[in-house]
Amino acid sequence: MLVQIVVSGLASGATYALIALGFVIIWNTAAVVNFAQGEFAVAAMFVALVLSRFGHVPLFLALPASVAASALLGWLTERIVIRPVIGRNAMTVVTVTIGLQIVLSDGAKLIFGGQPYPFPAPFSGAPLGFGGVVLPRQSLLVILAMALLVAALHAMSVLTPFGKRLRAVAQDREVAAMMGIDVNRTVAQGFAVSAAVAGVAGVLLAPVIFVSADLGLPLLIKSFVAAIIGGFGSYPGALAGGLLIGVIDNVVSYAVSTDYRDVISFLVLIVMLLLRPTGLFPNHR
Amino acid sequence: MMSRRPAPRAALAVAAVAAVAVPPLLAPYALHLCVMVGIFAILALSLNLICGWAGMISLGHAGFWLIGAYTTALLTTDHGIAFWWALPASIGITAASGLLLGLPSLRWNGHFLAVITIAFGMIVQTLSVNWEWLTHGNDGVSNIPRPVLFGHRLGANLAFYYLVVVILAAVWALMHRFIVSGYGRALKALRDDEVAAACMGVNIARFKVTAFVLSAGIAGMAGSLYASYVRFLNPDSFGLDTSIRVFVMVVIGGIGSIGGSILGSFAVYVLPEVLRPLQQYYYVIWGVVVIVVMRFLPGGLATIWSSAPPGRE
Amino acid sequence: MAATALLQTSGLTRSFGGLLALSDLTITVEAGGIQGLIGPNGSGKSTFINVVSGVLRPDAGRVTIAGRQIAGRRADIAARAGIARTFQNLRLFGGLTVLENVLMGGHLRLRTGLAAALLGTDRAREQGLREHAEQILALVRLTHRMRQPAGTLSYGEQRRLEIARALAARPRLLLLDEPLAGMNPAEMAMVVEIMQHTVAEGVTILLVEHAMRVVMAVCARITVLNFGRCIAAGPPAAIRRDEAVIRAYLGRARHDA
Repeated sequence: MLVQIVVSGLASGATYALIALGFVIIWNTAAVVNFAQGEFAVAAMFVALVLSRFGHVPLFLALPASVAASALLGWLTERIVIRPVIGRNAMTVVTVTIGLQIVLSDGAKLIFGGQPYPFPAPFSGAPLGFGGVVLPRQSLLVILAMALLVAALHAMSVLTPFGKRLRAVAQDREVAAMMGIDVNRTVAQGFAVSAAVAGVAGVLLAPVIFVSADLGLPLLIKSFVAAIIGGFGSYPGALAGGLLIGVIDNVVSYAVSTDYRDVISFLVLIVMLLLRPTGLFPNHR
Repeated sequence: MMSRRPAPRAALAVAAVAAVAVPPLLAPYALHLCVMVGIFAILALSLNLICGWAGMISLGHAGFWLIGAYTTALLTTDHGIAFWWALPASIGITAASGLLLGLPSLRWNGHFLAVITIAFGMIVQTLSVNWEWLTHGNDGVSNIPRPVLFGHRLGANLAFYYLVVVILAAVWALMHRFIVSGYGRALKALRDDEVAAACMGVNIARFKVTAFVLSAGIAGMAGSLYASYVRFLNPDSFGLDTSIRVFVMVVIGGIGSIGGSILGSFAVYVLPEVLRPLQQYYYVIWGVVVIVVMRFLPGGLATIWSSAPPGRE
Repeated sequence: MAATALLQTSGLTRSFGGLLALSDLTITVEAGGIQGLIGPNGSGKSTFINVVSGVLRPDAGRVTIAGRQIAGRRADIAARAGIARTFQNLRLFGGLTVLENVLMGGHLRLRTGLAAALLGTDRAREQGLREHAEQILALVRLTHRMRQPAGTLSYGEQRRLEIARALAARPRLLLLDEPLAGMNPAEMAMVVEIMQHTVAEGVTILLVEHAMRVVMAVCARITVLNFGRCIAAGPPAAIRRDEAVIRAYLGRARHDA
């Protein structure tokens, strides 16, 4: 039983981890704490929902299309909303992302209403049994997908010129600019990648929850907490933090009560900050 | 507010006269909005003390507001205590909870403090849902009495409005005194450079905690007024969205500007009326307004009338 | 301890990740006059200033100012004990005006309760502080900049404002961390004049500086650090001839080249 709880915790944790990863990508490349990060995931959910349920597009096409749509949204966000205020006082920039969060979540509410929508599961077969432990296919798929995506992102960051540019900008914008890197373009692409990662999280999460317009903020908070626990700015930290939050949530919901789930997650956060103020993976940049 | 040209005195005088003279002429709903603007202005001012002058961040002020509101609500209903005793009790208990949140601020700032304050707000709200023995949970608290002043119950919204205006003016005056005093200067100094401020003899820990305690106390006052005004509380009104909304009021109005916080809460509450024909689009448009104001008025609405460069006072 | 010792450190040790910045350092600063603290880059001068002013905690050792032990205590306690300082890398309050920066220097002398501040009964003290601040601004020739945000001053003006802010505390001991760095000769002369005026008022100055001509000219006594240790102490004439000092500087110079 415990294994099942942990595995399904890891599955939801994987989605928090991905959103946190995207959140940290934006923090590292643009020094922006993006309160609209959860909305990128929600946008992908709704695009996938519209395509598959109302457009009857098969899921194997609808999912990549929705991730692409959320990447586009991320790119537009940087171009239209963030770039004009970049470098200003941190509270101004945060407020701009809050404004965007309001626009996106209430925009979604305007279009789709406040009600939750069920989402078709891509793998609806019977749960898999492993020596007495029964695990739902979707949970395993989510964990597997997260692992693949993280491996792909890591390869991109290390191997491709784009990854190198992204890392250079994250290291030091001015030096990157002196090296001839188009910083603005790179930051915009960083937003696109970040939103795409959040979009993947969204479509992975959609089948296990109901899709609704008000999911963005709670997802953001989970991933913000994950990023902090992991050591703000660290990619492995964001992943570990997200997985940890997912597991803690699930174990607490099962062992204590769902009422106090968030309280206990937050208390864990505070205890961890007291024990390890720099997070799981201190980020020495 | 002291070194740069603030609003011209004439404009302030006009605003003050309008605040006193106009409400009796207003329709009931408009008057209701005015009361809410006043209460939120007090709440926004309390947050501005943290964000504007002390340079810290709080996204948990709805938690303080809740504690203040519930203290008054429960004391005046379940325990039959008069509002005028419940108000200071609210302030005191909320200020004490400010101590709780002030302590982590000594150790963390920036994102860490943002998340910890979010956690605080959500924990307080969760407890108010689940501690039914104390708060009546999701049923909320109803039939909260209005204050009685000189034998008259302030049942009419207009009378309550004037109570709010008087308290808002008092908070304004005290905050202004605080900010132009050596304390306010030291707070601004530690916002700019903690190490240098400490070398001038500023006890950083004491100042930060004091800022949180004062801010919480003022937020508790706003909560107490709110409970007694709306007469029914339930935990839904005190979520993260409320904390964020107050934060937006502060930044939109003008970080570190007293008048700005009042303008900010005015904008948040009166804009929907201006946008009434677009009612269902209101929130989306509000989000756009936030983005646009930050784009073109980084110092907030308070800088509309001053030609000074954007920045913090 | 000699009766005239204003600042006395003994056995002061501080390391950064295994690198010893101060090593069992014992230094005495006598009351009155300007004492120089020199040494090659990285010899521990700034660390010393930071430890004495309470910005850094020492790993071991004592710092005594006028008989009070303050090592390891907070910076505001060091300030309370009569130590004021400037910063090598300028740490002004950029959002405050020039005048407010100087008033901040006098923060400890305000001594009004919160209630007095809220009721506005602190005006007399504030007024006294302000008059003193204006005198100091006249001394450092920044009166005309009084109402501007400190962030808008030129580099040399910011350096002078740092000194003015420290003077407003009416300290017993003023720690100046490279106050002449990056200044032209005219500005240097102005700062030397400010230092001499300050000393005449009874303040003791500990001067960390690379401009050797000035140090030799204004200091009555000089202490030389190398690798966190005191390698020489005495009047300028003796320091100039000291073998260990010459070796320390020449050795570094060769190493740098």
